[in-house]
Amino acid sequence: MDRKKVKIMTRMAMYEQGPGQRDIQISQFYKKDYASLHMWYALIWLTVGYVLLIGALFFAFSDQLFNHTQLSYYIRLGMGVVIVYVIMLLVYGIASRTFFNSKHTASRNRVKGYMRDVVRIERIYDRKEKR
Amino acid sequence: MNTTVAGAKGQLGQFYATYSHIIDRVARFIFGILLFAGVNHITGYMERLDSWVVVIGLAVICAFLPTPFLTLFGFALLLAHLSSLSLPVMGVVAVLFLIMFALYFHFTPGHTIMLLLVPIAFWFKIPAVIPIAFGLMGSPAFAYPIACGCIAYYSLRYIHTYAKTFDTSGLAGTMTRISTWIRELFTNKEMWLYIFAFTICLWAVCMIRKRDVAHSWKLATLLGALIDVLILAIGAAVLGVKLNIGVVLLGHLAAIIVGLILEYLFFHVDYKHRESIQFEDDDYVYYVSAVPKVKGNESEQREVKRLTHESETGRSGEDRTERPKNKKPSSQKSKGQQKGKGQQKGKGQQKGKGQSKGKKTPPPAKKQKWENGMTDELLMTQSLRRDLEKEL
Repeated sequence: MDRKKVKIMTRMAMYEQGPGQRDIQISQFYKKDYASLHMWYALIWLTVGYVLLIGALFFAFSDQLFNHTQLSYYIRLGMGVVIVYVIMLLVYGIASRTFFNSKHTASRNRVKGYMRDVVRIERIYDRKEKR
Repeated sequence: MNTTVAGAKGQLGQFYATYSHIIDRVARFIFGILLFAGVNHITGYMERLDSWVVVIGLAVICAFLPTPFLTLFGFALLLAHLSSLSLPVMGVVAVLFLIMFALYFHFTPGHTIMLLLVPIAFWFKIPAVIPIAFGLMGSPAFAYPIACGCIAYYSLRYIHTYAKTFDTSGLAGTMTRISTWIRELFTNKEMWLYIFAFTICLWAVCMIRKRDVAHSWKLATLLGALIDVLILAIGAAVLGVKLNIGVVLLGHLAAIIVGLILEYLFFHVDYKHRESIQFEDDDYVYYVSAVPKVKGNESEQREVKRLTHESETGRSGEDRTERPKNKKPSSQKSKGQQKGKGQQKGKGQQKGKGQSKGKKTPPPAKKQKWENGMTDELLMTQSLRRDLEKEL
């Protein structure tokens, strides 16, 4: 039994059972595509969450809201809601892009390590066949 | 004292390594019982689900499923109880969780367990355990899940307080009550005080434990608890919030004990043998501080068994495993060995295993259990794990 081969294969098996499946799926994307796709998912979720939050606040404070009669109040309120939404979009967009970029880099590095082990195993088998 | 404690930890680690597949399931079962019993305790509106049979049954199921199922079943149980109380209330709580998921938890679905952990910690009067434990073991990003957990707790507490009102009033009354509930949630000074205090405590614990100082984890635990108590006390005085200081102090004491236990399990180092090294290269001067980890009983000798037969490897046929002196060597009843038996008497070792006359047959591969209960494969897996960790 080749101890080195067993070591490498055990390491590979542990990786495959652990983060390997997810990492291989992630590394099939280009980094830019992966980060962009998940950034858009994050922004869509943000929009859904923000709409629900504004809806809940509107429902809770509807009595106080309808007490005001001036149109300017409602315009200012609407602009405030939109400005906060835009700020949140910017912050979430940058944060999610950075997060998924680093996630892609990390999984790509792990897959590279795994592929190095695959090459090592292939070389071991080639040496055996030559003997 | 230090070596005795470290020896106990080493034995604990070996015990876990041997029986990890059973221990993991048992741990998930116990955690499931605590979680589902906590949910039943907090809500418990549906009589059919509010029983130990359901709690134990769900815990048994979750013991054999991956961890995210614990959170899923916990939420399902919570919503089932609320649906029995009032469907609009269940809808609002579901929407609240959806908002939290949309704003953060879709990045890290694993953190959704905090939405159940924090309310349960509050209900058992030990909420400070959460920021200190996750400050030691996690990262500053846990501030958001902890905040969401606090919001979940105060929502459930409001429902618990006004459960009869939700139950007895009609739809219009329920909607009015829900509207009041959401308004009070956003203006609840106690909730925002706890969120602020826990966030600062979490960040302080995270920052201090990473410092290059002796006993950083102990310092982080103690200072984190102190900061939390100070913020709560000052905040309660300024905002006019009523807090039971005795309960708060006892809760923080429990949090300190949990922090010390976590340090013992995950960060046991020997500060007496700390070394400070300085070196430089062309670009930088390096100041490095190395603190050795306290391992188990280092006087135990490791027994290494060769997995390959000596004749195949061409090495000398010396078996390095230590056998008890009184026992006879393993059965290889070839003529050569029997002839050499007189030579082997009195010697603790078996020499000339591969030197018997006749055919060179490899001995049967036997699984040998070591004195500490580990098998060959487990030893190899452990050493491979160490290699892998070094490389990664």
